[in-house]
Amino acid sequence: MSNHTDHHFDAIVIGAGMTGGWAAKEFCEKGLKTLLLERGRNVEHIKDYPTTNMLPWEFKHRGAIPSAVREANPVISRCYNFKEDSMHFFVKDTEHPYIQDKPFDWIRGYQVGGKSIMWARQVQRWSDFDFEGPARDGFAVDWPIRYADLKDWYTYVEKFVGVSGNKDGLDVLPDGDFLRPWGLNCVEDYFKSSVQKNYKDRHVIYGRCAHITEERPIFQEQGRGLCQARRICQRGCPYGGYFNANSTLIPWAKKTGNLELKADSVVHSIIFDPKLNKATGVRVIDAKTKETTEYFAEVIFVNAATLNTNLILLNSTSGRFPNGLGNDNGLLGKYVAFHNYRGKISAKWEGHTAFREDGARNTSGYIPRFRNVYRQETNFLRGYACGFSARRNYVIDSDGFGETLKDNLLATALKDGWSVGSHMMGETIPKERNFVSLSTTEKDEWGIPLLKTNIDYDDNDEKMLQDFFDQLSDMFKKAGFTDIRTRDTKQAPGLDIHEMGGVRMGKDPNTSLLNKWNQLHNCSNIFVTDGACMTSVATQNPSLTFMALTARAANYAIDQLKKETL
Amino acid sequence: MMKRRTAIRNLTIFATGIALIPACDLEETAPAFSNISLEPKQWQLIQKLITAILPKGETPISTPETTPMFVLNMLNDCFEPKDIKKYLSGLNLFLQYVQDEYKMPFQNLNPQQNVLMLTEISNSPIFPKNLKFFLNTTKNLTVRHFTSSEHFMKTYLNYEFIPGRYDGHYKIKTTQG
Repeated sequence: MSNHTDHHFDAIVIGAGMTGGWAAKEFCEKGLKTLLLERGRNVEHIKDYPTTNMLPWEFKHRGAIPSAVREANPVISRCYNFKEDSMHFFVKDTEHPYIQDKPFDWIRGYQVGGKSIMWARQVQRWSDFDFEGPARDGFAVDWPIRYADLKDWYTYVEKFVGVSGNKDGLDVLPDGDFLRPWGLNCVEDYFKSSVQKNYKDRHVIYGRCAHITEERPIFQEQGRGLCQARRICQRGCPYGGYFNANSTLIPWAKKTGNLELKADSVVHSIIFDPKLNKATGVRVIDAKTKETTEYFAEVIFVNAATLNTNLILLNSTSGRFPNGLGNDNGLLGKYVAFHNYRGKISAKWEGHTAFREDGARNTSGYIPRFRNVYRQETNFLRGYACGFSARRNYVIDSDGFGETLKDNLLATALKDGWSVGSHMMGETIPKERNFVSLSTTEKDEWGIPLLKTNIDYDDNDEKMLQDFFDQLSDMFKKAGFTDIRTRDTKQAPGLDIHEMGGVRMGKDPNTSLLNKWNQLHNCSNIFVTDGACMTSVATQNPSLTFMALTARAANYAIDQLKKETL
Repeated sequence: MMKRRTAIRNLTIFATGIALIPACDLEETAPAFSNISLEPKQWQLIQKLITAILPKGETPISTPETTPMFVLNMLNDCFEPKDIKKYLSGLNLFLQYVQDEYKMPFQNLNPQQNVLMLTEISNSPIFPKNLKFFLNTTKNLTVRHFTSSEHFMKTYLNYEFIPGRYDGHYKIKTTQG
């Protein structure tokens, strides 16, 4: 290990979010002096959650966003979670512009914790039906790993993070290390049994989620408590009831004494030394003063979030790598994909009127992918997972004026019957023509080229969308749901907030950027373990897989460092 | 004969006189809003209209701000400039309409006249769009202020800030009668 001065570290991690937090934790635990760089401000657990204990009526606009903000920031205003209680955690369009060569809603969270503060906490493991996708169906490149490589790391991460789930015994969605489930409600259970009765190999299950629903010694050690189901996680949680980097990873890394966390630190590029044939450090621009400082380390993890990671590598040019660090094959920034979230369906159910939900939970139902799982069967490749939920609503009758209106409002009661709904999460096929690149003419206020996004839907996505409408309508009809309505949100790619790729893993350096350890083929001391590394996108909410890949790669890097083979 | 007519006129004046007693919290001049400046008569109309739309109950419910303040906050902060213009145009049309139709200010109408007039404006297609927009917006925001209050949410929407439990198969308890 190197001599430590305040600019020299054993490891540098770029990005203090979901995966950067994990890398830092692994390094710090194993005794490595680690510099964790975050371009945004610090957000300390509990201390920096300004809205977390506010009641609904305490918000000046009862949750609405001011019109001036909406008008100036149309992209972020389309995000479902950008509301009065959480807007301070989302990047505004005006603060960080980018160039849309085709419409792309780039949703970002630039602060310590990143998007792990506002995420939806749904977590599922991949199976080999997912890892084998590209090889079986002839797209992208073969993954250099399989489920067996990641299985124990999934367990490792789940145990630390805390995942509430039900053991469902499905080959298409492996079970994990679960805390007790809150459970499905009576109508979701009813739909589950209807689907089971009417279809082969389709399942409605409890949505696995990163919430603490049971006491365990590890959570006590982390200083986290039981989730109270307040359903305002996006504000940050004073109980640490859901997983984010701020509550779980940063404090853990800090208490080892090995963590140096620097917020307001924008990474401009990675420094490559052609004589040593490896990276030696990073150039950091102070977010506020715009001064440049260099930091050095033996190993560098790039966890800046999918497109930011692409940006940093593309901007890290040198004589050896004129097209971006590691980019001998010209594929850096290419084969970016995302999840197709355009399909929505809603309906009504007139049964179970003697029942309602009591209390609350932070998840609902989930339908694992059922199309083309065991073989190719449809006129499109791959498939989609779905969320599914049922709820009873209160009817607020605001008809009339005066005493009539008052009487109507005071007659508010539970609606007869339930509303049910499902949304689609479709696997898109990574293609060379979906890519990001750097502007050659425009720079941001830190002198870094603006990112250009060139990402679009294709015919496969349109066919898959129609299939979602057809299949879910059929499943709803068979359950006796009525007033079935389908909707294409027509949203741009990116609003799914599941963009992945650009620095894909693969066996062959000619057709991929990273090897099976998430190591750049052409620069062995640089690792990428955030969404940028993904060779394909499957249908699962991806964060759990990102975290497992990170823990695995970090421990490999530590091992290699000790053997001095990096 | 004379006595009876005088008596009836006096009765009428007395009846409207009740409506004329100002609510003790009627503000004369409007607070300053960054995008809206209201003349006193406009601000007073809004306050009166809100009370006509949704009369207060016997027990006052507590809210962080008065309903007129909430309506104006929402309008000022969350409505686009073009819609604020529509609203103010509708407000002036409203003032004018009351004067033309009833030959007296809005605050002099009794509750039955209020409801009649508001219902007509809301339902009938003959009224200008801006006037309807003004009325419907004021009503929607008034209702939102009420239904987002602590009292309403806890009493009618079963709202709990910290549920700490979940039962998805909860059998609703029925009461007799």
